[in-house]
Amino acid sequence: MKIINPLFVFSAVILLVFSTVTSARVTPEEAARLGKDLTPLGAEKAGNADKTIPDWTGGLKNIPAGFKSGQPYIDPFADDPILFTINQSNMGQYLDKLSLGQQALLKAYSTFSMPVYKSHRPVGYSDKLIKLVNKNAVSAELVQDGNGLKNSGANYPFPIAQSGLEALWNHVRRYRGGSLNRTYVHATPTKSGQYTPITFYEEFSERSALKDFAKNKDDNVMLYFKQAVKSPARLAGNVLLVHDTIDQVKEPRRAWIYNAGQRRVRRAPQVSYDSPGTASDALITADNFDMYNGAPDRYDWKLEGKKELYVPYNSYKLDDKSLKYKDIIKPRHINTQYSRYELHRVYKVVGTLKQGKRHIYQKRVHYIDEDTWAILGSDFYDGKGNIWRVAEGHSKYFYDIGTALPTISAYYDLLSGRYLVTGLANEVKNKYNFDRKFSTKDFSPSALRRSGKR
Amino acid sequence: MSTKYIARFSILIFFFCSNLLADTFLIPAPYDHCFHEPYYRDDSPPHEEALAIGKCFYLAAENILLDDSENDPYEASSNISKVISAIQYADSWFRLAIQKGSTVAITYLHHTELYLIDARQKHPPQNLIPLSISEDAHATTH
Repeated sequence: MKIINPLFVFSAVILLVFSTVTSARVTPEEAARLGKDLTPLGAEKAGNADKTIPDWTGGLKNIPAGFKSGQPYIDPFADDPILFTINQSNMGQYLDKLSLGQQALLKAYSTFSMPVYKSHRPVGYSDKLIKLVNKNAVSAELVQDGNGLKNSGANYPFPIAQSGLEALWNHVRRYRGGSLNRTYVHATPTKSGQYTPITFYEEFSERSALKDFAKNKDDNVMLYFKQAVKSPARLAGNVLLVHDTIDQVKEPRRAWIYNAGQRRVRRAPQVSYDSPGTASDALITADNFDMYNGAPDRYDWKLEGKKELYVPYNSYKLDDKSLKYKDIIKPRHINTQYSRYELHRVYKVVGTLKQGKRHIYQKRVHYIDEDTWAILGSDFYDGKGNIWRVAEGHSKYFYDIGTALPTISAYYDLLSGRYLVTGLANEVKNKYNFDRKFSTKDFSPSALRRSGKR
Repeated sequence: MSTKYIARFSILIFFFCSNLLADTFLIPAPYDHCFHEPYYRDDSPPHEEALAIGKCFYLAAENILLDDSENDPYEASSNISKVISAIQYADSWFRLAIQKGSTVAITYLHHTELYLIDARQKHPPQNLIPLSISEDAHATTH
């Protein structure tokens, strides 16, 4: 009889353990830094040496006078002057603080510029969120080669991220107000600037924010999302429903589409990875939505430390109700006159396509804000290793809710000279509503038909 | 009529039918049919399947470029991104096919690379080596 070497068995067990649990929580001593030299979300409290990045002192102290919840947000930094503007002719002076994607944009378009303002760190966190994150720090773990999580609360599983995957999960599971519904416009202008605005209405809820939340029901689902097209008439009535699972390799994202023309609900496995994004005119992939979403399994993710970069921040002007869409949507790129860049520290996370896996992006680089864990910029490389697309998330802080979300996101295709801009709401009366709470019934496939009424 | 033309005609018929039926992407792209099975069944299929999917995207790009000569400038501008995306999808499938042992895909990958180099140098790129030429070349050499 063949005898199995005990050393072999031991090695196999160790290998099995480390192949399924790829990350361990931080020690209580490390976690104790949260709220001390680190912010509650793990960012450095101290600013940089020359204070061009300020200290974090708890976030915005006062909500702007005259602001009422549910009304358009008042820019708390409206009086800040532009410090300087980076453009094609002077970009050489700022290369160390520009991503390669931003450099490519500046090189490609002489009209593209980056107005730089004083940096502010307005984001604050509720006691409830701080408590949740503190718990996550010592309990959350990656499982299934990083495709899943265990022992994690709803948001920010890894405030002290030690790998690219952990940083990416913090983006995917960042706090968005629990639940919301919103109306906005997106457009895919041609090179000459012509476009048809497409109006979307979306409903979103984290599982834990559902009215009928039950701890052990649907526990591999992290969020529910429904997106209906409201205009133009030829597209109106089409609805997408997604139940985003935590471990999408174990259980793929559940998605359905209601086609108004056919009046049929169908499963939609294509809403994942590099399938074309909804109504995107082939300018983004499904996993580009929200800068990054979905399963991380096709890439090796590496955390390449922190960098100081000029990133879109406090982008209240782009949401100004006095502007029309045509003021922002211009040929080749958005009207950068209304954008705002600030110097901030970002985590640089690089995803490289795994051997034997396929995606149209051979490499993707994400720049993640240290204060919000939101991806603010991304560079996408094609199979040959050239930068093909560049994305920027122009976010703002929703001071009454305690979350930072994109005002608009722009995805530039450098090869075609076109772009997609999404999140525009200048001509919408009330873009966001965080008050509504949803139940699982609102996100059932049978609810799709009701949502699709034209 | 050669089998090559019958095959191309069938692809065109399938292309138009899939556009009529497409309910997946709201605004149908001219290569939506390439996303049908087995695209979603397996993200790492054998090299023959990977090559076939890559060819589907490549042919779709060819078709858009053929149509472009008759389109108005608005349509043509809108189509640039579709051609480039179709070529990038083809490129990614050819790369996978090569990783899995396909030698034929090497020639096709060369075509996608040439087109993308062209695209980087001038807007809009117009020239795409017809896949049928490569197929003929392979037929005579094998």
